[in-house]
Amino acid sequence: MSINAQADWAFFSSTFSTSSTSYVDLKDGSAGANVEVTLTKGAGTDVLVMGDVGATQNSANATLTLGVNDGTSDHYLAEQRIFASQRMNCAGSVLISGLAAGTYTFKLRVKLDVANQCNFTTAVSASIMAMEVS
Amino acid sequence: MSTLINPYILGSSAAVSNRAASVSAFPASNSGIGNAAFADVTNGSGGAPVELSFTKSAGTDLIILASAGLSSASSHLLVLGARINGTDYNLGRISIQISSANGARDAIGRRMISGLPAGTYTITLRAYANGSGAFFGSYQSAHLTVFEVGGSGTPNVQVASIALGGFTTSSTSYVDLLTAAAGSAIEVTITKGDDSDILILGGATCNQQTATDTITLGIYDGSATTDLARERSYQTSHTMLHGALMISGLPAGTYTYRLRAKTASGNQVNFSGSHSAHLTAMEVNT
Repeated sequence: MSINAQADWAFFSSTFSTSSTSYVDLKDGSAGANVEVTLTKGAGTDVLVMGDVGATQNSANATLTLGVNDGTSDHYLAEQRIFASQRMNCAGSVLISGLAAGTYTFKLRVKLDVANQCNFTTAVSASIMAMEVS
Repeated sequence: MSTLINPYILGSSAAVSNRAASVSAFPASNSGIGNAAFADVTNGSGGAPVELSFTKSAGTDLIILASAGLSSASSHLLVLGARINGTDYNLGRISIQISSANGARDAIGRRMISGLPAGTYTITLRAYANGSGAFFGSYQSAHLTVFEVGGSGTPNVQVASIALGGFTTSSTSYVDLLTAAAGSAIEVTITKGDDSDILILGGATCNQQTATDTITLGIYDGSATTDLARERSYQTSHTMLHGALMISGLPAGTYTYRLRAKTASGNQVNFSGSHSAHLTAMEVNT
């Protein structure tokens, strides 16, 4: 029996930018698609979500937090300090418990600790995996 | 007397669920990566490709998860991929901007590969830069992990995901990576059955306080520490480390795995309030 899991990835086709200090959906470009996966799970199981993203700060340093939304709630994945002159990756994982049996879309989200513009350019990528686990 | 036959050892896929495999590399020397086109990532100069062999059943897909530390003395776009059945698949990318001495980055990614018929495949880690001179460094590491997916299997998993709060170390031998200066260890406890493996996936972000050094993350199993990931971190620069470790041969029981860290040269590394760590233990090949 193979594992119940889904994965998605994006090499950003154009730059997506945000200065938001609350979670916003990570897009493949300014009008692009979400980086997300849809998974159908049974009762009594959990979902392991693993994700990563690369980014650069436009002009001032900030700390980027990567999260995942399950359709209702945001969950923390990882964070990284990013300088204006550098591109950085961050990656993390979270075990989401308490979801009833059903179909869920898990999408990557991002936010900053201060409202300094963060850019997700064609020089970086993002990916997500959701796996039904026990 | 009855004879017990382990179908996993015999190579049959019929009785093995939650199939996964992983390989890691900690090279002793630098090895070049492709220039504008994918080439194998090798375990040091003249070394073997970073690759694994994986047998899949009909009607399933594969999820490839990989990361690699890549270096350059020039500003480069670095692309990580995997080669399966003659096709290169993009996994992740990152760029290096050389403004001072920032020449090492981890590329990471994961994606689903569909449409492959049943069979045994060699999966090879690949990488390239948009120019010459980029390499997989002797102070870096890489891993390549594959899951067989598409069914209803639910691996047994335990996860720790932590927003760190200000732990520092300059130790050249492994110390527990703590959640904060007086915090707790980052660990997961998992109970496994017989004839299965434990796949560890973990990583952290951090930065150097004053001087360039190489940081290594390890997995402590209660008696020994095994290297998980390694990366060069330049003075004041921030770094991501990510790795995987497949542990085979353990009898049924309960096991605790703890994330640890060390430096190569004794220069302080900060796991600050702008950083995070994660650790996953997964029972696979059940």
